[in-house]
Amino acid sequence: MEPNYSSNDHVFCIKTKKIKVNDVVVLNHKIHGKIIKRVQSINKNGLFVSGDNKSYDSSITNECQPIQSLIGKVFYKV
Amino acid sequence: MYKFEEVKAHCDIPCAIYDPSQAQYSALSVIRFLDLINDIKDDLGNSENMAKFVRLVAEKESHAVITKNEITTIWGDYFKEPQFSAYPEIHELTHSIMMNASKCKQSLDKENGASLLAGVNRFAEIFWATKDTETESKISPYLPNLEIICPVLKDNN
Repeated sequence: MEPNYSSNDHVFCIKTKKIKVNDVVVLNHKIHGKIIKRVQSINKNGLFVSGDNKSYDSSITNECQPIQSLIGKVFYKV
Repeated sequence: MYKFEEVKAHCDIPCAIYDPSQAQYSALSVIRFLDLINDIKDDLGNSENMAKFVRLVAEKESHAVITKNEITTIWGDYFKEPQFSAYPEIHELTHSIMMNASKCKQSLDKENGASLLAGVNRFAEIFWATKDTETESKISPYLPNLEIICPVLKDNN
């Protein structure tokens, strides 16, 4: 998620279903556990997300994340 | 005291590096081979020119296949749903590149080479746009001295 989020950053999330494209969200992924990504698109089945660091790909970007996996939307970073 | 939970950004390792430049160089090579073949195709009376002609045709075939393989690899392995949504033309563009590469294999018409290069350049433009990288038009420093779309690289500060 660099350059916007780096290792050891602390983020605060709010539990909400009001998510829009470009929001940074924390999800509970079925394999990888808690992950932080940016919302690319939203459809009736869930969210497509991606990392901010375009130099690296993540297979997660190819999956539709169910809305139930959403933990919260990041609103503050320290 | 509040305990923070750890979250991860996740990245697949090893990370594949994708770059359409090989497809562009191969398309330029196809055009160059078309020019060279057309230069000697009416003078095949001697064995020297015949041997050269055969080699040029073989290399034209080979580079057209390289162009096809490079484009289909990027289209199949790199492009994912968000990129398809942003650039829906990529499917038809990829197919047209395949068709033009096949035409370059089948005939000596240089127009097919020009169409091939135009399609590959547009593919490169889209590819770099998906990586938020600006592109610029440059002229290849070698024959056939035609336009190629190149990424604008950052300075090493």
